[in-house]
Amino acid sequence: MYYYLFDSPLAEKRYSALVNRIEFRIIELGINGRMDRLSILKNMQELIDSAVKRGAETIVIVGDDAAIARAVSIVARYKVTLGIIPVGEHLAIPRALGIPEGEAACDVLSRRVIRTIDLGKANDQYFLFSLEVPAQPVSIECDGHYRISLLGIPRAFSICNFSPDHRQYHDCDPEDGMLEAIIKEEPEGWNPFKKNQSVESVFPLRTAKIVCNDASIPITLDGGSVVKTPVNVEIAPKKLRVVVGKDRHF
Amino acid sequence: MAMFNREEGETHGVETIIGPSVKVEGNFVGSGNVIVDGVVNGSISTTKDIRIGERAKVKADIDAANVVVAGELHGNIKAGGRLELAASAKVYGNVEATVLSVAQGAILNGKCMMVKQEPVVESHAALEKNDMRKKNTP
Repeated sequence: MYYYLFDSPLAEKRYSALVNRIEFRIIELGINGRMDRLSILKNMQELIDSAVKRGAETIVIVGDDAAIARAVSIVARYKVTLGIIPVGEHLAIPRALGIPEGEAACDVLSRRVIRTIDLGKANDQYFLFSLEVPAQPVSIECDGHYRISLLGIPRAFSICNFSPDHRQYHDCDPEDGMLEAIIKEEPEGWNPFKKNQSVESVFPLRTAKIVCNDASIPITLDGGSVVKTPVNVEIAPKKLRVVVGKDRHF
Repeated sequence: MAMFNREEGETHGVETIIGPSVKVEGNFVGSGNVIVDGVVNGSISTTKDIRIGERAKVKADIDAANVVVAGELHGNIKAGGRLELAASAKVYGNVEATVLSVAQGAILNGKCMMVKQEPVVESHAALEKNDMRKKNTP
């Protein structure tokens, strides 16, 4: 049984034609189910909770990255499948999963190619791509065996489960049961006119504890929700069942 | 040996990179190739290869399949295969390897032990198959 959840911006007039086409295609393919629209009065958590209680087996989110990222964290708690119909401006998650934009996603949904992928977990929240640590002197206890300290302030520091950009050197594979701590730093004698100069440190890990000695700092999950240090990070292997397309990045 | 070919994409096939602005303390256990260009205190163990870069400062015992040292290392090295000391290498500790290569200018202060590579033991079924082949050949 399918359950469709439309993100609140899709109530805007500019999306009405596209939403109509999506609804028509869903019926045409015979994958119809109950539909709800998010609004100020309707909370995503409550809607998904009640849909699962009613017996929904596939929760389909119609919206952009922000809506999908929120849904990932909720759907991961149940044994249901996540489907995606991408609509909006920021669509990195569906691109990485090989799902085309708009009504073409309905065809992918009806083919039901399902992969069970890993998620990262930071304290009690799940993330699909990565968590970003701000440029601060932090230390990380990894897998309970060793500690990483930064000798300077890095340009970027993240713990990655799945890389949205498949052209990146480091394949963060969401099916390998590992997270990767990636620390990017500027090399000595850095030249702003030369590309690809940054030096990277990479550590595969399963669990980590991020601690900041000075103060509690905010850590961003998938560019959206925020948790504060100290943060316990772990891999949640094979946690999310998701419908994927043939152009997926893994 | 195909490990750590610097000329063609130096980090190809590497799982762990300890960069120059990173310090690792404790016992690092990995299952992939490791490049060390930063500071390590403790021990590093992997089933694959390790390269200690020129800028690395390592106070750790090393256990790996093949090891290349170009930096400074205080600790013992146990290489199941090849141990290569580059001209810039400074090793203060005992080393154990099957094949040892020391470049001119490298410093090695410690005991050196060459171990024989264990012969591959063929399975009982494979031995029987070989015997049968010998019998059948005229």
